[in-house]
Amino acid sequence: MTTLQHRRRETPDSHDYPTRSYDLVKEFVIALALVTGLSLVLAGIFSSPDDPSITMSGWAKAAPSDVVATAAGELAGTTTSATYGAPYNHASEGQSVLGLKLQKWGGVGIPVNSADLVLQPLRGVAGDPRTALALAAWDAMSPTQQTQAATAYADALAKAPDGDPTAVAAGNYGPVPALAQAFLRLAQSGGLEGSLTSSGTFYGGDQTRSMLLLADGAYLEDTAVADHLGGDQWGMMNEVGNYPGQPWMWLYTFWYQVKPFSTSENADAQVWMLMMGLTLVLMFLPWIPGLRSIPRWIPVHRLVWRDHYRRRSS
Amino acid sequence: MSSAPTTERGTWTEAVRNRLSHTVPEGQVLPDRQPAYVASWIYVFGVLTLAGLFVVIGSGVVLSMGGATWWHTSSLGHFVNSVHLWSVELFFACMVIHLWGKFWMAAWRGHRGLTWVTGVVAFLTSIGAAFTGYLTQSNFSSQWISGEAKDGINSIGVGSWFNVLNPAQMLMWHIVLLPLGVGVIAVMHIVLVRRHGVVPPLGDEEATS
Amino acid sequence: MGIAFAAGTYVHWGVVSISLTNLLIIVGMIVIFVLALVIPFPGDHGSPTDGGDS
Repeated sequence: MTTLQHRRRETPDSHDYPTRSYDLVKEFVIALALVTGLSLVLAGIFSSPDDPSITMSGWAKAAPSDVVATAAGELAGTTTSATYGAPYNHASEGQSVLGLKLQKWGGVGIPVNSADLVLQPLRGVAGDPRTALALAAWDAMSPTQQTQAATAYADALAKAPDGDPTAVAAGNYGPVPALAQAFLRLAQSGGLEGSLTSSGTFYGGDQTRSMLLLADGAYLEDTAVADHLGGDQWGMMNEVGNYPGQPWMWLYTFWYQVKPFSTSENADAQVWMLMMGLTLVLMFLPWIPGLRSIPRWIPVHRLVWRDHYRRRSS
Repeated sequence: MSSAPTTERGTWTEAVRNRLSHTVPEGQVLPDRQPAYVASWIYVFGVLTLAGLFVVIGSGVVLSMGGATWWHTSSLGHFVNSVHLWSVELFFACMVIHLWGKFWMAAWRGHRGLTWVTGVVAFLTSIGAAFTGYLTQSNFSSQWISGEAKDGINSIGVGSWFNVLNPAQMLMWHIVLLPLGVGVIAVMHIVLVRRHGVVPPLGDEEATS
Repeated sequence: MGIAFAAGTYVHWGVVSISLTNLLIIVGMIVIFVLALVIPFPGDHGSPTDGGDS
């Protein structure tokens, strides 16, 4: 703005300058040919990764103890999804930033009962008296008894060598071990595929419940970490194998690698707010004093317009 | 706004026509001449980005013909997916180099602030489009990325409406909503460039009296 | 069902951990940026006129 201290410098109208012939359409056609050609060549040489999904049966075969532990945790209400908060349940207030309880304010718009992630598929099993009995026993217990039995079993699994269900110490676990084993058998047989997605609807399409169950186990994350995709491995930037990832995510994932974010329970909300702020700085750069003057102080532009400056001085 | 002779009752059509015809100076929609200072290879990265967007959308259109899971079972589909991935990498590389160039040229000068803003918005919208693309792969990467991303989106209270665990929703955002967004913003950005012309060199400013 | 891909090659420097591929992409972009600034652009390097041709 014009002030008493200095007059505002006005950028000249670009249309007042001498011109040269410049074929924009030819330039675009050449650019299109170049990018198309490069894309085809790069695709031909390097291809693209297609790492197969983790199926429920694949999970059960690769990490059966993890499936059993996850089932016990869902029944005990101790898994990540069971204690998540919005949008799945009211178990936690969730994350906040600058005193704003954004997660909670979002509300429980996708209600998910974590115990039902295990019980619903089991209730659909026909012709298995063992499972039917275990379910009947579970339903006959009070909520407090259910939580006690499931928690005790989950704790015992954690203490067993390698989390092996066959090596669990004797205890009063009610029908929980039977339910967890039935769930593992169902998963191994392939009966769990789609059960939490399209059961009762045929078409499905929404993988929320299946993904929450899978993410409650350790196998998904273990697989990701082995592929260098973990959150504290700059994973947001990475792709499996040696494929190109998302280099443009470098700053977003950077914050997760350093304190205070790396040890914060509110890291996601905090990093989001920080990146939102930095994005606004980038967006409104033309109006930010100091930052907008950097191109004048560091004259990279003298390379761009060197012919023009030479002509002007001669 | 209108300088043309009007009928007794100005029509909406006339108003829109006049508005449109004044958006870009006469002869500047597709000029065949540029200011003489437009003479550096840095200037080609805008059009390279645009070309990249065409290849991204073009390969995406072919993928759409085969469907969302075509690339898992067809080697042609897999190749087209690879073209889509690499054209996205080229698109982002050219866009960022274009951003670097425009920053060092302080290209927002001379009432070009909105050009800069639309460029940044195009960048952000493109990131969103790429993100939903990664969610649409229907493989392990989609499983892991959705599982991680849900925590970020849920933490700010948006997860009930933008459910990254729902591929049926994310696919639609990826192939309809976000490409439309990128396209509209790219058109606005390019119209603004044609409207104001390429920014003159730093140091050519005149002091106003 | 196991891990389909082994993790790629990663470069570590302090807190930074970046895949070799991503690093090459970023370095490549910087190189291309510098080249775009220094390589002469074809056309008339003398005085342009309104009727001039490149």
